[in-house]
Amino acid sequence: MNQVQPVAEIQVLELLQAGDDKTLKVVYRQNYQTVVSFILNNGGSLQEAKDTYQETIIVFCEKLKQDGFELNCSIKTFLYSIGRRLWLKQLKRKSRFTTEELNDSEDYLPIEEDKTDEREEQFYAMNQALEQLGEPCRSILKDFYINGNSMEEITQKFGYTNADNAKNQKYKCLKRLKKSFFEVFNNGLVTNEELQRD
Amino acid sequence: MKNSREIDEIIERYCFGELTPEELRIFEQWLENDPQMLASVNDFLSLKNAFENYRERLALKKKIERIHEEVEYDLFNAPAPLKVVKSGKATKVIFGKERSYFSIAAAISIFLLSAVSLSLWIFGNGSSKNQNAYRELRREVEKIKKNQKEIIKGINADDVKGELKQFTGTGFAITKDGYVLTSYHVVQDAKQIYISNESVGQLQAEVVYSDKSLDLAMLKIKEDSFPGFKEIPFALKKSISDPGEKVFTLGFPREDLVFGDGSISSYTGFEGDTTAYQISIPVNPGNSGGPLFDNQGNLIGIISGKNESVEGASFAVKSKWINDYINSKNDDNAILLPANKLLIGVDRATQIKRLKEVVFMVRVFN
Repeated sequence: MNQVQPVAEIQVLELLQAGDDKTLKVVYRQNYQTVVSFILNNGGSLQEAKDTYQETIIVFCEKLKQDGFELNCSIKTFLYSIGRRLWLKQLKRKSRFTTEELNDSEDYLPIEEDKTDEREEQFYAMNQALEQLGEPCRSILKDFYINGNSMEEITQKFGYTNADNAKNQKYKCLKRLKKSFFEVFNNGLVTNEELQRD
Repeated sequence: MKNSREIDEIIERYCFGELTPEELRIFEQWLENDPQMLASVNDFLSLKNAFENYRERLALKKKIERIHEEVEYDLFNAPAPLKVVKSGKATKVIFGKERSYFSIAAAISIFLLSAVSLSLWIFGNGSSKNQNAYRELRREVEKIKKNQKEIIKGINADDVKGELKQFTGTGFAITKDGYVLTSYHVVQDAKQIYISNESVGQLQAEVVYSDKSLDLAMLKIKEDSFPGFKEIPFALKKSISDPGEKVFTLGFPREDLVFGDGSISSYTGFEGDTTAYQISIPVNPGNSGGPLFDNQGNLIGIISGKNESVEGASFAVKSKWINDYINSKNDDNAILLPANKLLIGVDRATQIKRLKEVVFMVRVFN
């Protein structure tokens, strides 16, 4: 797999690392079929395939930004490998005992576990935890911790009589979020060994 | 002693760096002596980290979703090729079994005559559409190449080999409970099929049965919570229509519904094929599988292809054959053929308004 990369791809990577959205669009367009077909051929729906592909692009972007990032294969192979791994994870989350062989249409590389995995798990757990939370907790926490709104704005928006009431509500919400976040995060981890077992 | 809310607030302010120097000094001392507190702080830091990560990813996701929307048309704009037939060749579309003998005979000739007979064989095998598919595919790839060149000069050509595995065509509901009719060549070798239009959104479907020689395929919606279509407004006409009669079709040669009208030109389709009409509606790839209606809005056929060498000569399988075919497959009476008269005596615009609810774009993944 350690073949020399075509010169042009290095340029593509440099453009991507510089945050060039036009290039990202081309890369997105070019590799969509390969990854989406793979997921459709392995038990995924169109929606799941699209979501996983977008997740693949996100992981790809994150990996690009890591220090000392080096690509030893084509972008296509790399994206296929990331997408494959993400889909495998998704299958594991659905059922821990999938033993079905995957239908591969491309060569792929084993993707090493790194920081992006943790970030991916974190995102997944946070998303799940927020989903489970329900309203108004979800919006309050999102407004405060994610959108950076102040407590005053939240007090007004949600119609609390004073900031202390809003604070108290936020505190209760956070407690619940914390509980379900760590539950999902600690139990939901799919380890690399698990992915490679079959 | 402080209550747990106050402690949590202090932890939060500590993690956000909001403690006063005095508070910080006391709190750090506290941390040293209380491993429980240290664990709580670490938990909050993980949570804070997760919030930040969530925000970043959400922004990235938004950006990528926008990119998706921008390229979506390109991604799905690969209409199923129409079955294009060429006149002036020795072979002929023959209905039923006879046709396959032709393919065999023609297939043998490929060994004997090689290159010269290649085009004949491709046609005789009923796969002239593949030729066309190839052309479509090539056009698409060239487009990608062009896009690519605008950004990076001299990209390695190998990376541009996009495999086009998606096709689009047209289909229409034939029962309220989810049976949809389209052309066989639209859903040929399909692994997954989706139908979509404005009113139903996107639904997954599967082939129930199909017939290659009639170029018909019956699909059924396979969504668990499918509420059913609107009332099928038209009736299926069982008798034959005559040349000169005005007809119209609705289809998805592009991502929006397109209307086309003309008249029946002949009782027979390509080279005397009695299962089809020749019609004078200009059709394009993507129109395949579209319904053909007469003035009263009766279903009289289904668009199947066009003659490549004659302008404005398109073909549609006659509704009589659709009727006979469905009846031959319909032992369990699963399909009650539509016989509604909601389109009679109303103007074209109203007819189309009612019909567009039950005409869909068919997306196929091979």
